Amino acid sequence: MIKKIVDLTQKLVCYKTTSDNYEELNRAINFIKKELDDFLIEEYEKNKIKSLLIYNHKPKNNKKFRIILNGHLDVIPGKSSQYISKIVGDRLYGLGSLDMKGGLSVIVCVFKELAKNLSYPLALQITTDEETGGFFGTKYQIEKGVIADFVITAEPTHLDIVYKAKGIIWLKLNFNGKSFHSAYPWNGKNAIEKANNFINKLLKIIKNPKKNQWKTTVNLANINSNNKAFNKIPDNCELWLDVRFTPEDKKILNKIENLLSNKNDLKILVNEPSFLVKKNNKNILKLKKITKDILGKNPVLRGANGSSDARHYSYINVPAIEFGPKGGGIGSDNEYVEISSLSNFYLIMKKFLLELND
Amino acid sequence: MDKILPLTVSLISIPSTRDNKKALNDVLDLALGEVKEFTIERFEKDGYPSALVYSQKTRPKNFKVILNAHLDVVSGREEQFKPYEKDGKLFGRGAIDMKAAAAVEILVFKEVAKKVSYPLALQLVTDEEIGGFSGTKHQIEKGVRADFVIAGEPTDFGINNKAKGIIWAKIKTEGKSAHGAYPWLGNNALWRAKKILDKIEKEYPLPKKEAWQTTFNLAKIETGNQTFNKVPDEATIFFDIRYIPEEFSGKNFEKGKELLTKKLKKLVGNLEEIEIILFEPPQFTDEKNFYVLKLKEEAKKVLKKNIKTIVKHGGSDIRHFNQVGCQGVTFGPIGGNLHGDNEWVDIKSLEKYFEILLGFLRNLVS
Repeated sequence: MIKKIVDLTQKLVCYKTTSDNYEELNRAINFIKKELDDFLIEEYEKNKIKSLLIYNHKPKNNKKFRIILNGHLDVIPGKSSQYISKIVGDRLYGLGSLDMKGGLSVIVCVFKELAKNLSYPLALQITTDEETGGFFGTKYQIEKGVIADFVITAEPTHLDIVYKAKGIIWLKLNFNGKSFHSAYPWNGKNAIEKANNFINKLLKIIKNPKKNQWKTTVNLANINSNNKAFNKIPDNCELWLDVRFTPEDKKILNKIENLLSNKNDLKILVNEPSFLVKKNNKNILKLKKITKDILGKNPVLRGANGSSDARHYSYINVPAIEFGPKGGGIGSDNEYVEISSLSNFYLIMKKFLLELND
Repeated sequence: MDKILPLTVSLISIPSTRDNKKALNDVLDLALGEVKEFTIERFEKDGYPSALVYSQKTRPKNFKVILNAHLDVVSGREEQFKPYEKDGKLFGRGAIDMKAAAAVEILVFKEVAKKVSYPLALQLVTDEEIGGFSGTKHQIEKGVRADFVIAGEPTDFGINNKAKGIIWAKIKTEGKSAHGAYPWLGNNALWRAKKILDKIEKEYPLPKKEAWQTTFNLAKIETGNQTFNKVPDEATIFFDIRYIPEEFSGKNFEKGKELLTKKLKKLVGNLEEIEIILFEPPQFTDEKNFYVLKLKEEAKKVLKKNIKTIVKHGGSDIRHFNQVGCQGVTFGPIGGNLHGDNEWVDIKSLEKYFEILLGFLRNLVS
């Protein structure tokens, strides 16, 4: 089976599936459809973004799928040479090999192998816009009523169980002052200094950690002002903030708003939820046990700083986790996935799905 | 003395703004028409004309006194170039800054230049409002020197012996880029810039009202980063610094500049890159200077009250003279709304101004 998985991963890497390459994404979608043409396939499309829902049988009486296995075909852009995969030892190199065509190949293969023999409804959800937010893939399918007891998205997690992730808020804040000639600063009010005062207050409620810790963080991405003249006191200043908040710190936006005298000064560009699944969720406990059986040690349960499509399920209170293979080099010229970890991931998923059948 | 008002009105009627080169030439020609009987030395740089007028056949090496006047004005609405009188005031663009004072200087010069035994000059320029580099500074570069210079800028009869210098600086901070979700992997250049702002705010807090102290205007901050989820790796802060001459601790401009640059570097931290865009000298003449005391004495005689030395937050052409060791002050009549609508000069104060300058120049020799 691992040969099939490696073969499928290599085939998928060849598709130049960056988020704006609709033609190539379509070709990849058609390839997957052909691979799984024995099953029921629903095709979704919104804003030119296609996604698939493939399943063994429909949940009875409009009920939930028992499990959804989620994966995405789109990749972040890289050099053209990276679309040719190569194997060196245990490593399969190629753009998207780890994020996440390797993990996707495992869930496709395990679905194909088992789905017909499972008594419960199992779905494979394949999207093409995770890297750009997942709004027209996973989120759109959820809006259309797709629902499950438990969702696993096969993002690369080193076979750790990612049961929580930070939310994202992108803000633009505007500060106004009073312009005047700079030789007479007492007659004006400097808007950039007002913004700086706000930052001082902000840093009291968000303390950026110096190393990786489960804490809310803020990135000050931009400060700017319309003022172009040295000898003028600027009367406006804009701040751009990228806030990553933990699920334990859901009220952060309110706290930031309370720092401002005028809420109109704040514009929310992105407000994406965090997610948190209970550690004692029965599916997590089962997955933990099986992972221990296969790997010989307990998997790590941890949070993620970045986001994934799993967060969209928090809107409908469906527990969704990230769980997938090991590798490295995402965003570099040398992205790779470890073949042995693809194999372990496959064994874990197979056992997990079969045990649910009992 | 009765020629002051008509000459002022003629000068104001010419819209001698920086972009109107013809008007700048016209206004200078009009002024020089009053002093035809003297030697007129003409200068020009970058299209800005200026002149130096004296009674000697050739230019003396060093004048005792120069009366300096600028004939350019800041832009104004069309009707501001049609001066009118009301309630003892003359309204119009340049009334107080400084065409009325220029008219007085011209007429005083005409009155005394041939009578005084020392070398006296009238210096007329047309680019003070944009820095005086092509007028006063250019003439200094051509060797024009004096013991004492009076520029007739508006001071309401105060004697302005010092003015702040200007520094325009860009400070660049560098950091390390990273994904916005992992700020600990990067080094945000904007946080570094922010630390500099905090330090400056602490060391140079902005005065809430007018004060004789060095001030920083934070004019702009920018970064090339246009992505929310990226840690910016560079940022630039733009400062306009107005520094008091006392920052130089008595040193000359070159040494003072060095001293202040070092101070600035220490303030922002040696890691960051500083680019000086502009470094303008301050204006400073000791208030116990012989000519300052003389001018005070004459003003007291005419106005029948004590005259104060005052400070200015903006600079004047006197700073160019200070740079080469020549002393000087700005001293002018009463008026208001300079650079604004309804600019005016007090007509009575022009007669007083005439008397003070006349007495000052005459009594220097007696």
